[in-house]
Amino acid sequence: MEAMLAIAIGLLSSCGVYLMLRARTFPVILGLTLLSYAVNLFLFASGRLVVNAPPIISSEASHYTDPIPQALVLTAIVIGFGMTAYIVTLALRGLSESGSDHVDMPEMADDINSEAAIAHQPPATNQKEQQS
Amino acid sequence: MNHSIMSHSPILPILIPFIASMTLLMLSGRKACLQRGISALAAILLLAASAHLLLLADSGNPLTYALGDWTPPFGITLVADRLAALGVMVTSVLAAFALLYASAGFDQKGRHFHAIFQLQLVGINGAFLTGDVFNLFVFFEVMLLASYILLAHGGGLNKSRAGFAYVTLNLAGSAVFLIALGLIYGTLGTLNLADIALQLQSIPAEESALVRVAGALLITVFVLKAAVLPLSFWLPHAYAAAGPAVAALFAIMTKVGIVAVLRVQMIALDSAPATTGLVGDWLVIAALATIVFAALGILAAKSLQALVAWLVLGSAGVLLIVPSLSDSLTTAAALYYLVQSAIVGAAFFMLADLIRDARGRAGDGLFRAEKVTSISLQIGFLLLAATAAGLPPFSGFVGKLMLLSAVSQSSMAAAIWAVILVSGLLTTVALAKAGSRLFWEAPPEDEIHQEPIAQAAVRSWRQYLSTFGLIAVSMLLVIFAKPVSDFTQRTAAQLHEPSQYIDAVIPDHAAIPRMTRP
Repeated sequence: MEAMLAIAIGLLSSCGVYLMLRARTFPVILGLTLLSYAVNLFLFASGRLVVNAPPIISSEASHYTDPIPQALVLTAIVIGFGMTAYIVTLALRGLSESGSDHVDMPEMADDINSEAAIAHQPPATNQKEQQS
Repeated sequence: MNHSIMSHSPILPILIPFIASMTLLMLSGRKACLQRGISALAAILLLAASAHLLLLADSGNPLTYALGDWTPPFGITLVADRLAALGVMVTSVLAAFALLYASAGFDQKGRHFHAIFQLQLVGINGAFLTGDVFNLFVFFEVMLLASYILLAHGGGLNKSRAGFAYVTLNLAGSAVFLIALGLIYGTLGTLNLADIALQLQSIPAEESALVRVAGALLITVFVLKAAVLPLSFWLPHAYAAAGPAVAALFAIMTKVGIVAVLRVQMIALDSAPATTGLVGDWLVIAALATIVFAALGILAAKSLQALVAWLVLGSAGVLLIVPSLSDSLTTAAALYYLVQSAIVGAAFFMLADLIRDARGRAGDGLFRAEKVTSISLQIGFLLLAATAAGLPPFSGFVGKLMLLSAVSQSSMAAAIWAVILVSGLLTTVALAKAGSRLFWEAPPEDEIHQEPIAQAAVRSWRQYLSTFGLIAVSMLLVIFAKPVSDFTQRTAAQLHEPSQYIDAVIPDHAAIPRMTRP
């Protein structure tokens, strides 16, 4: 079982890192999600793998599993979930503002949104005219 | 009554902003003055609580606070030693001024500004105070999540673009942080920093490789937050895109990473045979490279706010020299430099915004356009530029002088001196160029008869008061350089004697039940 878990963690994290290096926002977010799955599994394994044992005291149990990693994983899952939700929102906002889902979010000069973009940042557009 | 409040003082810097934040969330959509009032009240209470904590922490051993009264190493412990109290104090001072600045109107550019701002304070103060590495992770995340939202506050493509890169990088950093924590728990069976230090002493040789990897990953995450060179490309973009009051508070966030490196290294890693020397010469080289990189960035910056962002990066580089030298005098000098650079960076971000408002359409771009004629802005720029460049008699000079004289005994002294002095020269040149562009050079002839500036943004006394208040604080750091540096020396002495910290958290080492694991 250890080998299976190790392979799963390795596969998840390598896929996660590969996707994170892509140029579009959606694969990057998927990559982050896969990486956080890998990390959660890893954290879970830090308490050693014990099968069919309760984490809290019970009269029937003969042995226990370590409860702390489970609490840690829960915390990490909750935090990771919130972060993913936020970055999805941010990516969508970037898409609607720049018209592109490239991670660098280039400005599109002939886009209908460009006027709004200029209104937000007068120095950047002004700069090119005046610096010459 | 008095006694019971005293015993709770380590948690007050976390609780006060937390309660304020939750109250503000419930009051979202109410009048601006109500939100500002609650936020200001919380900031003042936080100042009082931090000052009180600073006095308590300075009077002797580190204070500990066991959450839920779980005896360490079980449960989560807060530890208020001098370093934590100093960090909390600087944060509260910056927060008070940043809030005052934001109250001039920036806070109304989006929803929930005050609630998130207070939440950011929860994260920063918690990261300084906690004595548990997993709890440190949680407070880092609180701090980062709030900073993501504050960075995007006010909207605009620039902010979305900088925000996406910043969030992605920090999420990847969090994954590395969690892997480090998993390794630590898997090998040592504890997450309490003092207990980690104790367990590290007796780590068997065959497991030391895993522990060393864990320590190295942990340091990597902290230097990512502190923005050391291979991991520093995010900082100039993110800080240059943030709103002024937000950037001012961000000036302390890189410092959180540096404090975390110092703490983990001094208390746990350096005293154990398995991990000693983990923060070795590589960090000082990376730090020097960061300083050079930042100096080049300062020269190349196209706007004043970007220039200040590079200045912040440069000061982070200077501070990251310290962990590898591991010498009490250097640490003391660095802590003084940390305080002054955070305050000067914050004031400079605010000043850049005031100048942007004064120039109308040209903003804070460093090209020839409308001259800024306001005398107060000129004086403010002169003071801040001289301080940031490290010219006498300002606090930047005092900080650099102490640091340079402290490292003179080290084997790297020649390299450190050369890099810091040359980068100081480049910074001076860049700031002089920026100043003359902004204040002296008239626009080119053919553009003078352009349409007049539509409308210079309304400036408020709050913005001036907070900017010049912070400048005054940096002046006070020169006038009271002696007491402040005495305090940082006591702080460094305490930090370099980890047994004080460990004994305060776990007084009775032998009595802890230990279980061997498969």
